[in-house]
Amino acid sequence: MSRMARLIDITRCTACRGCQVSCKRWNQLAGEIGAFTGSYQSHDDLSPGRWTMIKFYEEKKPGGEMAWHFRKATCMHCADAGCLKACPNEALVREENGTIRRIEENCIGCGHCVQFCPFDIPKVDEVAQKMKKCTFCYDRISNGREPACAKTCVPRAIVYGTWDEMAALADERLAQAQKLYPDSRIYGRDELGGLGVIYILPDTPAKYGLPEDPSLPFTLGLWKDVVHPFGKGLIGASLAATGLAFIISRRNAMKLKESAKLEEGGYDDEQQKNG
Amino acid sequence: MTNHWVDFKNTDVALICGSNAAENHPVSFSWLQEARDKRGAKIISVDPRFTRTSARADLYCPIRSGTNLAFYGGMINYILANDRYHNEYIAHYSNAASIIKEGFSFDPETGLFTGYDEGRRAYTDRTTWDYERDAEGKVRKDLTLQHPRSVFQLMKRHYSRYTVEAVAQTCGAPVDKLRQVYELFTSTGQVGKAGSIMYAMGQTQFTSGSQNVRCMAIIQTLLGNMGLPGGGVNALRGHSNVQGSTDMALLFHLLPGYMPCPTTGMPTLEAYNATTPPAPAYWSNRPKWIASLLKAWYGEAANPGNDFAYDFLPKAQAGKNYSHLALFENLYNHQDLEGLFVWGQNPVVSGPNSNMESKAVENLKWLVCLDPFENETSAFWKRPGANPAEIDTEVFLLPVTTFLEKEGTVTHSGRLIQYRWKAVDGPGNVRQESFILDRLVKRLKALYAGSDQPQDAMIKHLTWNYPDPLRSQTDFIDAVMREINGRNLSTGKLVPGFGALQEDGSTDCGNWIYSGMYTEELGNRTQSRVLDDPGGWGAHPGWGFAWPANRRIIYNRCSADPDGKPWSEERKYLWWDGARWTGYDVPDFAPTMPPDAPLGKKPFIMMAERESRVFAIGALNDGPLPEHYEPVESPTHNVFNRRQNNPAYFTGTDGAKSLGDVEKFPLICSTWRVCEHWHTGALSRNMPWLAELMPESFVEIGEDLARERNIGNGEMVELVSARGKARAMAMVTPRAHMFEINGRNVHQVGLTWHFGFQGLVTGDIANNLTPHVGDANTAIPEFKAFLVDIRKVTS
Repeated sequence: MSRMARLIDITRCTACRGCQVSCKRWNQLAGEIGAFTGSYQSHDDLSPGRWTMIKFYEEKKPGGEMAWHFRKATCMHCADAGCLKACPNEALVREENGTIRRIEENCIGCGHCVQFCPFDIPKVDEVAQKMKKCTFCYDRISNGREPACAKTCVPRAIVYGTWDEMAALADERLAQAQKLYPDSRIYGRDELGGLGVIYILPDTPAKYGLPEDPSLPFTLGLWKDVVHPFGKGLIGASLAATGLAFIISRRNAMKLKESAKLEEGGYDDEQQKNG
Repeated sequence: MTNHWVDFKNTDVALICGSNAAENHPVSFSWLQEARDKRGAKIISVDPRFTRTSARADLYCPIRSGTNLAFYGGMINYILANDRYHNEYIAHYSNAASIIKEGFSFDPETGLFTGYDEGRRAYTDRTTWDYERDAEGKVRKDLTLQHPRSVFQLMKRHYSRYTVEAVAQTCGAPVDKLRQVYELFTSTGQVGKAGSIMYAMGQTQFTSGSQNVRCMAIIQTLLGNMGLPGGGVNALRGHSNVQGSTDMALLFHLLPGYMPCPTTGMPTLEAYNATTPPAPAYWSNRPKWIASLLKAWYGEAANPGNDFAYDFLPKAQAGKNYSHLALFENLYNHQDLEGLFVWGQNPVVSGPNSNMESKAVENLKWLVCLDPFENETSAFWKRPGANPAEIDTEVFLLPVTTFLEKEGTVTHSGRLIQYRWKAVDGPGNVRQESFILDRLVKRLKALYAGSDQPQDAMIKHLTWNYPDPLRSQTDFIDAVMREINGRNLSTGKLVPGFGALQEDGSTDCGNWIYSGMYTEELGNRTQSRVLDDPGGWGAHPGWGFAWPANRRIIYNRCSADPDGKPWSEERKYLWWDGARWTGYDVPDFAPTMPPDAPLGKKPFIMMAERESRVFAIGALNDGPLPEHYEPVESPTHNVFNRRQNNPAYFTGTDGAKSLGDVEKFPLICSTWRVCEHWHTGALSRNMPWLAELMPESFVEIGEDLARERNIGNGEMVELVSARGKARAMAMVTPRAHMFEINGRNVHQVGLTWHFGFQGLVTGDIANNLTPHVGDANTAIPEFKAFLVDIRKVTS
């Protein structure tokens, strides 16, 4: 099967959030009724039980004009996937159709993938000790159906097809989008070896909470190539005491890093590279 | 709608005004996007705040709530002053060339047309709102449109006051934006172009709501946009079947198929038929439709000898208003009403001045509610602030199925009747409404079976011989649909359409406009799912059945010029081929009437003059030409004339008792909907996947007002009007505006009205704030513009 992808054209999204409901319905995820966020956005971020959501971006343009854009946040199913490289336990695999698929029984909820996703997508269910994220409706697409979000999208802002088709459609959509939003651009076609989500953005990625030039830290390769085989061997030995301690220490280190990230207001991959 | 949903793909410019289509009618955007992709169409959003629709529009213009008439008046002036109208179209297809009687006038000093009686607050003499006729009774016309008393010249003078600058001051709109909107939309007056107006409750729910709709009809006529693909006046209705509900006369003043409700002033069928519009109006066939309706309802008991049992129909007291507003006022004042059936409604949340209407419900002896959930109306007795010990109303709550758990037809805004099949069974003992109705009628008929009282005959003789819905919903609905379609009673066969209905009692028909949906030849056409699209205009004539007669675009004769040729090759839709009208739709016209026949150039077949009435002859309660009046609660004075409010708006007995002024309530407020909730929220606030998307009631307020009142984003605020209070969360946003109105800054706020005290997510009822006054013609409440004040909740 060819690599599949979604084209998400932000310039067409009307934020009806049918995709958000459709995702929960197909995957039978519970509603999570929270407090008012001060915006139309339902929650601050994705969660273990919320694999996609529309994020709202309100902008006052010079001259008093308004812009209001809506970005569907979801797993990008990257060609060069940080989560997959980071996973110590082969809980993530790349399927032929491009899905970065999670293997439930292998996932130990260590959260290493969280740290190395440039898009902040994976979320760890601390109670179940499992990471959760968009499955690209693997169960649907491997049976010839489109993902639930694409199926429900009324203004056809979400389109599903082979990666090549979507990459080509992006040009067509871009030409159309630029008539209304001259600064429109394609995002995801070239990033990280090509993402499984190709966006049409009305303006710079930073305006919609996306890194300008997503990359994976140098250390990730190191982990994968040098440290990981050692760790894997330990898990193979029925989680011998040392191995367990190793994983726990990784998680704690990661949590520290998470809180540091919150304080600083975000990661800087460059810093990690230079450091 | 005159057109239909798919037809939005054919438009060149869509004006979305008084509607938030992207949020509340998302499907429309699928087709608008196609218009944009394939035709380079432009979308205009005119709204008090910057909405999700505005976010996807090419052009956005803010206007203050309640100023649609000024906005449209300015558009009409722009069209007339800048020659943007379609000259040949209006000369032939509208009454613009007709000459109005001497004596008719409008005086900006009083803000009144001729014939007004101040004491009765009504236009009691409308004789001058009429055509001048020659000795033979023919309307005098001047096809050059130059006669000073021609409708065209009268309109030109009338709307000359609506300059862009004056409109901008009243609406608070930026002059340049307003001009851009007028320029862009009126560009569709060119031959080969078409513009569509899409509207919803942001046009209708005002004391001048009917006149707002009139404005749209006038503009679309002047621009030659009626009857063409991509044109039309398109109401985006608020519910998947609200078109069906009005077609079937769930309204106080109508019988099915928009026939008037009989009143005490029409005691006999002859008197009722005497109110029939004269030929050649197609309405002149009404006696056939009422006779067939009575035959459908009363069968053998209806015959020519007894006026087809016309006596059985209840008669409204002439001059009495039976609207929602009046009904609840009566109830509030302990009059007339003992019990109430409420189904498909939740008036405690959806009615205006909810404090008053909830209090009114306490006066009922009994209340029957049919709903999938215990909503605010069935739980009115335990609403916040009520003391259940003091309320004696007996409440019956009958749980009923949701739309997914029943089968039957729905009729959408495009007049398309589509059959839907049940997806799943309802839980437990939940019933479909048709079952409850069936059992209710059978019980009533049993109770009255032995009665000889004349007033009981209407129930005793009501025909009710449908298959038992408990045994088969499908068979029950099939029988009802056959009756609605109509039958030839001598052959027992279904009639092919309303043209076959008779006045002599030989046919029956439950709703003449639905006739043709179920025929011997084609079966139940509402179940048809053929996707063919001849011409590529999206008419899809084999998909479902559109009333009337499966026409997808009504007045479609207008798509051809007076000689029957398409106005342009680009918009070739219906034309005269030398022998008959042909094209891609069912002609809205006698199919073999040649263009040179006496009526061959007259497309508006329902009217006696068969023309679009840009000047409304005698028909409306508040004037033959739309004129701007301020909402009943307004922050400013009317600059277009000296009369502040609509001279005939509906006040009822209590409306005027609780009105506020700008000194005490300085903010303009409106109520609106969000995509994520549905109406009163009875369904969506009980559905976790929807409830999580919009968990709390919120009010959108601008940054200036937030600063002035020290309100932070996400804080709780309380809105106060002369009627009541409602708390909501503050959403501080640059999308909400401060308007400069006649030189003064006024803030506009607005809140969602989906919330109430029942369900998974709850909030104060927004309609605690809204006034109990209504439109001069329909008495629809003025939900969309009123005055409030705001304060931050600190305790």
